[in-house]
Amino acid sequence: MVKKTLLYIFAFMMFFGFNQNQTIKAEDTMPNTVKVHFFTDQYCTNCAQIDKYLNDLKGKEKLPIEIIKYDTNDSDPVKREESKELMFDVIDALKAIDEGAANIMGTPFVVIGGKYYNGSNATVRLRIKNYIKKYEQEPWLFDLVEMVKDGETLITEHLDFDDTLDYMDDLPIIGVVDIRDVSLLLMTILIGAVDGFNPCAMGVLIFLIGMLIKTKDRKRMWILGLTFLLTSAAFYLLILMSWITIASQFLQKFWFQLIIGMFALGFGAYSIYKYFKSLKSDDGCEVVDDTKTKRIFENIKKFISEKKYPIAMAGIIAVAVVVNLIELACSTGLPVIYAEVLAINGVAGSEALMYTLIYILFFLIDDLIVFAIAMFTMKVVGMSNRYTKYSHLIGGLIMLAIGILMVFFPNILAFNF
Amino acid sequence: MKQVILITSLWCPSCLIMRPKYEKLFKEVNIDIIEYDYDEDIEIVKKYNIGKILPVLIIKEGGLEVARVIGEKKKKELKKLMEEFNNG
Repeated sequence: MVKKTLLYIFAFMMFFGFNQNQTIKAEDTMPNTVKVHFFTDQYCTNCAQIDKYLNDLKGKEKLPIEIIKYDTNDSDPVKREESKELMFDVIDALKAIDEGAANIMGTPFVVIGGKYYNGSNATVRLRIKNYIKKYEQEPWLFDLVEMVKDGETLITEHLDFDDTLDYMDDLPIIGVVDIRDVSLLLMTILIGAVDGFNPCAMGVLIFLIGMLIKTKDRKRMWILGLTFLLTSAAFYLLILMSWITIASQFLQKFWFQLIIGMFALGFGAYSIYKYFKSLKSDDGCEVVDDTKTKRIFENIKKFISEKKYPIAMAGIIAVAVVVNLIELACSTGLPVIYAEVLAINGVAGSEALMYTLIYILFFLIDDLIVFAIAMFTMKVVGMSNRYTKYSHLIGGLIMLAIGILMVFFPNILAFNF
Repeated sequence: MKQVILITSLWCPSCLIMRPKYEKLFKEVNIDIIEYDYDEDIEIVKKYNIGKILPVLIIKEGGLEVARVIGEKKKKELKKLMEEFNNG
């Protein structure tokens, strides 16, 4: 009997305790309804975009929001005037406490907690969502629109200056990331690949592989081939890191950025000119009859046939350095411009090293593919020169775009869109 | 008697791409390609005055040059070349 009673007491306590915990937990995670004040105009397409977006957040994404609409073009003249008056009152109140409010250009105009948004672009939509999620967990104490309605005076403290969520996005597979990092990563991959897609070093690598295959010595092929590729990578790493350091030193100097911007515009235009020039000539390998190139090929032959590995490797390292120096001129300034973009974005130290390594990986990707195929098939394959002319066009367009941004809109290049 | 000469170079990716295509095409008409290396067979290559782009394919008939193809060519252009080769 005692046993049974104890069991009931224990069961009751467990049930009660469990339920109590659940209640507390439920209260803890209970989402707060976030008021979204939406100043709109029924005839404006951007407003329609935001309208749909807010309704999707509420309907499809089940965010706990209450959308309060003020149509500044309502068919009812009384409502129309009230909405307009309130919108201008809110804008005026914001202008008094925040310089940024001077840029508000009418509808769509959204106020959530201590934040306000104007426009309908992707960044605005992302921020609306992020701050709704934030206020759902941590409600903002001040409702700016309600305060203006009540005739209260706004002060700076009523605004939410937290910008940590401004660029955070939840991407499929990757998860939550800072979109500035993604932009920079994509730019790194694109510029690295375009930069690497030039025929200068590829010709030398193909010659080297061709000569190595003739030796029929796989060990020699691996050692000397990898020596060439790793030296190229190390050389580029050194060049890029040096440029990032220099660019970081001059980051505050507008004239430096202007010079690099002009440089990008000049080389961009030159690359596009080279593309149009190449359209008039046959696709193929351009013969370079200079003694420098011939000497490189002679040296490769000499070092490949060198019996002692240390000497052969030292020779190949020297050749790779010379080739990459020449290639630097071939790449028409992309590394310099890329280094400046990293510096503008405040990338330094280990982060700069990581981006540089990714750049080099994509810079060398065509060489790595050609080398890997040769190693496993004992055949040299080449990539069509027909596509190298497009690298001039793409590289040129990238440089022109970066040049324009660097000179006229440096903020965008810092991915502060 | 037709003769086909191909001038290539070891460092040239376009030559690597075009060589097997030419070999396949001329094998069909039972003609062996005579290949010269731009950097090795300097004296012979000089005689053909090949200009600035590799590879260069030269078709000769009775000792005289009858056709010349410079650089990388698409399948359609090669088909046309072979039609001319067979008709000529």
